[in-house]
Amino acid sequence: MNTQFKKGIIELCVLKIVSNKDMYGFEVIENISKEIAVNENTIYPILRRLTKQDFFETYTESMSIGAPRKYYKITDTGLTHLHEAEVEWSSFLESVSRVLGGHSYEN
Amino acid sequence: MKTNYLNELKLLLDNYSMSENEKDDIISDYNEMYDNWRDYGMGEEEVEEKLGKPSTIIKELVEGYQTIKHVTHSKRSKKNGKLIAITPFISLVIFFILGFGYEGWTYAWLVFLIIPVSAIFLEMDNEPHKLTALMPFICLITFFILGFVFDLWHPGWLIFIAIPLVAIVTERKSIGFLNTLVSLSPLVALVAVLYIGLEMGMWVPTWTIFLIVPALGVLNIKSKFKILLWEVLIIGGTAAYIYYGYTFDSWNLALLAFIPLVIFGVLQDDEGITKMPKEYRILTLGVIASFFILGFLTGMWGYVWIVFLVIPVFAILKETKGNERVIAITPFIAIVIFFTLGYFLDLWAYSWIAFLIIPVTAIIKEG
Repeated sequence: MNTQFKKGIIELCVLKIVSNKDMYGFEVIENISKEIAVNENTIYPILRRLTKQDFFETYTESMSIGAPRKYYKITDTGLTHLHEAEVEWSSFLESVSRVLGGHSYEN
Repeated sequence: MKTNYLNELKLLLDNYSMSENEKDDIISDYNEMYDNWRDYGMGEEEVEEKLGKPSTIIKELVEGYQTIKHVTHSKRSKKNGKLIAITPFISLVIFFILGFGYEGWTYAWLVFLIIPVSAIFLEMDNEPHKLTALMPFICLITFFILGFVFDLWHPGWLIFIAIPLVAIVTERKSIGFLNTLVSLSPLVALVAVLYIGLEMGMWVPTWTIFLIVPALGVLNIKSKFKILLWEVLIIGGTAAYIYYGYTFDSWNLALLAFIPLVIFGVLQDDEGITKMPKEYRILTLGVIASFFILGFLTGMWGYVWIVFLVIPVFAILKETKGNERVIAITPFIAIVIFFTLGYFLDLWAYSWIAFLIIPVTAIIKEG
């Protein structure tokens, strides 16, 4: 699959997963990698980018064992963006299904 | 181990124009990942293998960031922009000093060439394209010195052959010392031709000294047999040209002696000087054919050389993008306008104005 295309989809997945629950980076990877093959070097840059774009905010939480963890929390801007991206994605999928399903798209 | 890993990563990140906060974020993320995998029971070596070597992962991490070198260049670009912006005024002052002070209106306009030359010299990064873009000016200045000072408009026009020659030569593989030698050869040839021409008045066939450029250029080719063939065609063609020229006193027809060399060059498709895509080879052949056809049909050898400009123009259009393309292409447009108006309408005194499109374009594009 085209790398940029895949990155775009993974970005949507990251947004969605973090919208359900605040997560730290490693947790995001664990969740996504259940379905899609991803690694740290893909997810962490996405998390940083989404934070820079104000779609996420971060906070640190101390652990009883080990170093403190940086948690990602979706912002209102992030939720709006996620909603728009989901609509766009659904519409795209429907179009692809119509094409692959053999429906005429010339009309 | 972890400290070394993170330090190495930090050192690599320092090469990019990233804020300290962003770098700290990345280091902190990798620190977290490192610890997480360690918590999973992995050894340090396993973790580092899992995360990837810093030198490997850096590309992904700095996607969209410029290297420090590039940023420095951007700053330099702004400074260069100011320098380019003042060259029209400097040129104008020199133009009036030469004109009013020394009544040198005939040649004073040449100072306006400072504008495009400085724009190209300061703005273009790509060395081969820079040389290609500068060649029309080098040739033009030489041509006018030959023309105005020595009334050698013909065969002075032959100097323009250096434009496509350089464009082709700059396509070759560069190999250290030889590369330097090849780059210097046009200058050496120019000095030699001017010296012999001035001292002995023998411009033809002295110009063939320029053929040392391809003769050196082909030494880049790996195949010794090919080198031999090239050298035989270059030296043989030159010898035949000189022999025919002197024997029959017809130097134009004698140029036909170079046809085998041209055809061989265009048909090559392996390496070195001949490593040109098919379209370049077809174009080169077409341009050379057009030059001879137009030359023989019209007799305007002093003008039809302009067709050779098609080659570097095509190369620039194909190989460059954006501002670099526009800056590189305008000198050629200016030359065509300048030379056409001068040659056909004898408007040399005014046609130099065409060169003003170059700084104007450079200033607009570079802001």
